[in-house]
Amino acid sequence: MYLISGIPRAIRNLRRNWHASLNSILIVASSLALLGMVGLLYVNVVHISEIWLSNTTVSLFLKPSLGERQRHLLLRRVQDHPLVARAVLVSPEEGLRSLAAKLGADNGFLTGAEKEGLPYTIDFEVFVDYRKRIGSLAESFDKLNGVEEVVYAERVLGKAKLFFDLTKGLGVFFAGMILISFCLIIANAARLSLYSRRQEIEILHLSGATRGYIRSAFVVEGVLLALIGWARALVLVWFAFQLVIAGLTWNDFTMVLKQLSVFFPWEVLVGALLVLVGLGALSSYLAVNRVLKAIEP
Amino acid sequence: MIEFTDLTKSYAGRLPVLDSVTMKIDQGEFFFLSGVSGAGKTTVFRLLLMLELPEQGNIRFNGADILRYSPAQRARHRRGIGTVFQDQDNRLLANESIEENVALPLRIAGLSGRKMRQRMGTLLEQVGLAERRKELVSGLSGGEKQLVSIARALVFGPRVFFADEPTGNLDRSMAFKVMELLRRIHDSGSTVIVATHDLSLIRSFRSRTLLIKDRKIQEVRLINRAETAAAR
Ligand SMILES: Nc1ncnc2c1ncn2[C@@H]1O[C@H](COP(=O)(O)OP(=O)(O)OP(=O)(O)O)[C@@H](O)[C@H]1O
Ligand SMILES: [Mg+2]
Repeated sequence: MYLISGIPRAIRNLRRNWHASLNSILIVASSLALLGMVGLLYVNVVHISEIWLSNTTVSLFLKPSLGERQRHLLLRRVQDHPLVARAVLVSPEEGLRSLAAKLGADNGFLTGAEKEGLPYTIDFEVFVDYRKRIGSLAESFDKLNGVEEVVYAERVLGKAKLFFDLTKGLGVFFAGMILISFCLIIANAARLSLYSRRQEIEILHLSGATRGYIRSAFVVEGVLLALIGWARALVLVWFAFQLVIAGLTWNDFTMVLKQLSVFFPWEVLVGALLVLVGLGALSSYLAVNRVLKAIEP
Repeated sequence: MIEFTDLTKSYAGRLPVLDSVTMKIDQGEFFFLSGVSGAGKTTVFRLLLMLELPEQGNIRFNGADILRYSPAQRARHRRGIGTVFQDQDNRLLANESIEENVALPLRIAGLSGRKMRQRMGTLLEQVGLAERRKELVSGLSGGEKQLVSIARALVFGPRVFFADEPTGNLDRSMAFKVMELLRRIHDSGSTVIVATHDLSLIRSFRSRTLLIKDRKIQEVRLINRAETAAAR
């Protein structure tokens, strides 16, 4: 019941103590932004590595010297292999088109010069059950005459896979650390700001305000601070994300990363908001109670 | 109306301030509460406001045993009493305007609107702060803060009014103006208790006086000089 009347009071308080409030917001926002960035990195690494590793497509890059007949002979041999499903011969033009479609880019996303050097490929899928044997399969095709290179996800990933695994582990670790310190920071900010306003609470108490009346404004204030902190952090992380994305233009690999990278899904954002608002409310509530306990006889 | 029965109050680890005190103040009375510094004047108010609890004894307020009140009832009890506290600096919201400070009890009671502003206007007029209503309290002098406190305590038109050294920071003419204000409240039927060690103030108002001396409260006459000297 007091919560409604607490809203205008909380807004007044926020404006009156704007300096201190801004500090709390900055603390919340920057630690949240840090958490958000680590989290986003984690989300992207998981997302991209999953896309990659679930990909059972193998491409045999054929030597440019191969003629039409030799290409078809090779295709037949690949098709006859028991682990192979749907092997097709892909011309450079077709390859380019399907790649562009997969990445959601337009057809002109590679320059003319790069198109020149593209070889014929034989693309096939490995039956899902045999995904684990993709490595040895690739090796055996590597030895075939006329095959220049065998390309598949795990090999492309190579060192990147290690990076992915490392980031995943570190990401969880850091996110956990930051989350814990984040809770402490919020609780501490609430306690500090309320201790500096003990006098205000005392005056309200002397003037006949009930506990509920006093608490409500401070709890709403905590919620509002959390909300503003969340919004600031969101803007910060979003801009950082856009900046990194814009920078991913060094080579094909980073271009692909750029296409695949994702921002937090809205469920995560809403979840973070709810957790944050809950934390803000709870820590304000506890802090006010401490002050009230000290004042009341 | 206000009744202490066998009341004992001591702060932790100290001699009692009040030792089994029994006294009674009727509705509509005007009392001075006097005594040397440290005698326990402020303590009496704090007890009556349920800001301190006694070790022993009973406090009745309008017939109710206030020591049994729940926290919510205590808050309502405090709202029904207009109080001017002794240390103004700690009792006003420094970063709020004069107007906001005076309006605080009304806000707590959930009142707002035209009637409230009218009442505040009259009061600020009476204490001479009407034109400065938007100024922050932090910029006011000690005496001016006292006036704001008085206006705040009066804003409700309370049936019971406590003033702890309300004229402490004021010059003679302002002090008399304030006492006149308190007198008017009393004339409207409220109970008024004014704590002061300013005996000449008491003498000039010739009201009934309670003296705290040797941990007891007794009624004294402080009309002539001999009586005043005895009180010291
Ligand atoms: N919170 C407290 N803790 C411990 N002792 C206290 C506390 N408040 C008051 N006292 C002691 O109780 C006694 C009475 O204090 P009180 O403030 O009631 O006196 P007073 O009559 O109002 O004095 P003054 O005229 O200076 O305002 C004093 O000895 C004081 O030191
Ligand atoms: Mg005192």
